[in-house]
Amino acid sequence: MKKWKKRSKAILSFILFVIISLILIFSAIMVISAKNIVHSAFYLAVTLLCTAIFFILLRAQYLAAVQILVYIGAVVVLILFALMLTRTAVGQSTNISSKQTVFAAIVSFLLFAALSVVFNITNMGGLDSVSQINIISIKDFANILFSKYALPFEVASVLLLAALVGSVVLAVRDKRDDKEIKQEDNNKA
Amino acid sequence: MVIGMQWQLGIDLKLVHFLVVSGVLFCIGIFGVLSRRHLVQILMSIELILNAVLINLIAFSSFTTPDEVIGQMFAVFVIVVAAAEVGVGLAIILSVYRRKKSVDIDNINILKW
Repeated sequence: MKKWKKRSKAILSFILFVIISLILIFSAIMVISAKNIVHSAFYLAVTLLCTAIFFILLRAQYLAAVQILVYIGAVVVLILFALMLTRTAVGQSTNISSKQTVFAAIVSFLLFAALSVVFNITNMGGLDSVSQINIISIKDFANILFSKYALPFEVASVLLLAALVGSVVLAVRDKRDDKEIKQEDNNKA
Repeated sequence: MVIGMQWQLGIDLKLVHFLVVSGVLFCIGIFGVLSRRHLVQILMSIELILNAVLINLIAFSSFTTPDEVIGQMFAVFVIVVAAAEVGVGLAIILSVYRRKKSVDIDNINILKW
């Protein structure tokens, strides 16, 4: 009875995996092929959500929560804000692909073929099945993060500060800049 | 090592399943970076690539070192760097847009001479 329960659990997680990976790949393709750029931002959110479900399947609950918080909560919203501020052809079907589409398709297909060959011939080792993974609690995770990885944590905080200051410096509207752009426009005219 | 042993895809979820999906995601991202013209769309493709890498890191962490969290720690720092990258990247896109009035990558050739 117990064995049967375990077996049905494995089958369920496999079915979940297949469905989620199909959604993931479909929405990833839509991210790069949607005609409307705002739609592709929303498809990006779907892709990130599917990645978070993958993390749960891999027994990394904390990272799934972080993925939803940071990526869907911050990154997608930031991208939508940038789309709003740049006001480029929202809702219009523009010519989105560049001249090197065929070349890019060949490169990415070759890359995937090479990856498949590598997966095929390499013995990865490790556990046999996802059901054998043991969950590492958030408490243990935090203990390791703030003891063994304390220095990288501090460095990451400095990096975030630098990114904050840098993006403010880059995005702030400079009056002198505006004058230069006006002058350039006048020169052109 | 017999070729094709890894492809015995049974009902059990194995490491190779996750690797194949993340490989597909990575290649879609590469295709997007190389072929799209909108700057923001290129940034989104980079996000796809980073997510493929994250799946890889966590899959290897869970399957090969189940008692430690090395890969998961690395994934946390990848997420931090990705957030910083998006912030700075979008600021650069805004500033380029202000100067060139366009986010089409074919029109941006300031660094070209």
